[in-house]
Amino acid sequence: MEYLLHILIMICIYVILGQSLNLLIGYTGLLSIAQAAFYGVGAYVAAIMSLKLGIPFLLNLVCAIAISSLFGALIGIPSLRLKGDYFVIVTLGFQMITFSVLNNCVSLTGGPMGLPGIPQPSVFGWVISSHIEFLLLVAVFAVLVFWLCKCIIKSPFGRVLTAIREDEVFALAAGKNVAVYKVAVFAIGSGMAAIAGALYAHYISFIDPTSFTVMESIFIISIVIIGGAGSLWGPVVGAVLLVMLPEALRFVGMPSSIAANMRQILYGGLLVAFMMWRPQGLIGKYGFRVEETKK
Amino acid sequence: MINQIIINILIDSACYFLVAISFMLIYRISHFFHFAHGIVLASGAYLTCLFKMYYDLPLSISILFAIMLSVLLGCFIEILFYRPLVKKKSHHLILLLVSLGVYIVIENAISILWGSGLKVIRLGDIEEGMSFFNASITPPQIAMIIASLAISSFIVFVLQKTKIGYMVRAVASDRELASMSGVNSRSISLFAFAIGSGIVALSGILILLDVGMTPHMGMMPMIMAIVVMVIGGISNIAGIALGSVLLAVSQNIGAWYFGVQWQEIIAFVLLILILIIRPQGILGNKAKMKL
Repeated sequence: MEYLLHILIMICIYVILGQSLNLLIGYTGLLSIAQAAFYGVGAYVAAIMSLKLGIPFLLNLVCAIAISSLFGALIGIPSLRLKGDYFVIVTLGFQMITFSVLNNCVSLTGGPMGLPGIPQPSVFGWVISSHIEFLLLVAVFAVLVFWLCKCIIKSPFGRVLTAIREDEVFALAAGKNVAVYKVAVFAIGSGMAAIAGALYAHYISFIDPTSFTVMESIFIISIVIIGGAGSLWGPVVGAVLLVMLPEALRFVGMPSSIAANMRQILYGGLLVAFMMWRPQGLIGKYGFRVEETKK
Repeated sequence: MINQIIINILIDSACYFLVAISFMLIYRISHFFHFAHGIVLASGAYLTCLFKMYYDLPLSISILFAIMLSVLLGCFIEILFYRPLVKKKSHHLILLLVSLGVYIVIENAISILWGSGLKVIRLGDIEEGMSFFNASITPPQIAMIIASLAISSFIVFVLQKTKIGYMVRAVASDRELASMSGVNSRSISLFAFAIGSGIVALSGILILLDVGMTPHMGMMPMIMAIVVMVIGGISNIAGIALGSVLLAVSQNIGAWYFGVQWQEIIAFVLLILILIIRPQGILGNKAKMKL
């Protein structure tokens, strides 16, 4: 039972991450390999604040979101000057810088040893101590993030994002300040990723930089793309699939020594397969269609 | 001390140059980032080990076979994955994601087959590096410097003086126009992948001989190759050479002042700076930068 609860909690955390990246990839058309960096920043801010400063959960959640959004906005700025491939490289660079900083600032982040003993979160006096209670907490946030994304997408802001995805030059010509929208969506996406990070930190009660590497970023990209970019339920489907499939392998008799490798082969293979035959994912609406106007 | 830093800069820039020139060759022809390049690097190393350790072939034969098989791997990836997508006129980000996926699958396959720990080839007794002007250097490192010089001359010669080099430049410049002029663009593309894969496999083997191999060994050199391409510009080989040297210089000097753990950050800070200040690279040509 605990095992099932653990799976459900991880699914909820990845749903939040998937939704945050879906805003970027699926609705604004910006591929970012930096999502794990924002996830990590959120986790570390929450962990450091609750470990070293004893600050309650909700407050350090807010701080995690704020700091992560700031970094997200910073990444949004180069996106204004660079297009396509080169922007992806900037996000990759940011991801690696963040990992390096987390790994090397031993006094602040514990470096490769990580931060152990993160206290259990307490919401208005109610200490969350069992898996069921944690599932409740995470599910509430997952629903909140889902609803937030829905509001964003249905709003005029969301429509401009879709316009940027479809034809950025046209959006500019129509008078939209594309720069502000891009920076804003990055801030929002990274803030949401920070929520997942803070929840993860308090759930596992130990974090280290190896959970926030490029591979993790690619995993989050896979969730969005395989589930379906550009649709609200896409990341949900993707998270459920990509978290549960490797676990299902356990029951087929896979030796646990290669379990981690098989998990990666699974989502790498699915990524290749979907990109080759169904780029919009299972239930998605955006499959990176080639712009007709560009050569 | 300063001599050792200079030697290290030479070795690092040689390594970066080899990976970057091969990556740039492929990028100029195919116009997307072939992330699976990193796994061809690793395959060069692992195949060498396979031939030497399991089949007991002499080192030079193992290296030859490993490079040949890695070239086949690179071409195989192009034919099986990229060609159908290019035919469908897929977005270059789809190609990027496919190459990432291929990289992940093959890296984990290597990890399952050979384990994820560091492996080395034992060639003889462990000895100190040779002394050269008060700094130490080892034979594999010397080989890396020689290889980078040899390969850069070879590539410049092929591109400028041979017919096939002429065709490569044509396809890199304008694929459709080259096709209309009678150049078989698909074959040239395959040729670029073959040469690029061969060079990067060689660099993987040299890294194996220098420090050893892990399944993940290809990721960092490949990312550094991208950094070199961005810093130096993708328009010409001199740009790649300059980029490699600049990157090696900043990393080594930075390591001397701030400590070795900050080497990666220096590379990426440099990357982001150049992308903001001069996106086409130092020796890059703005007109040639196809985005």
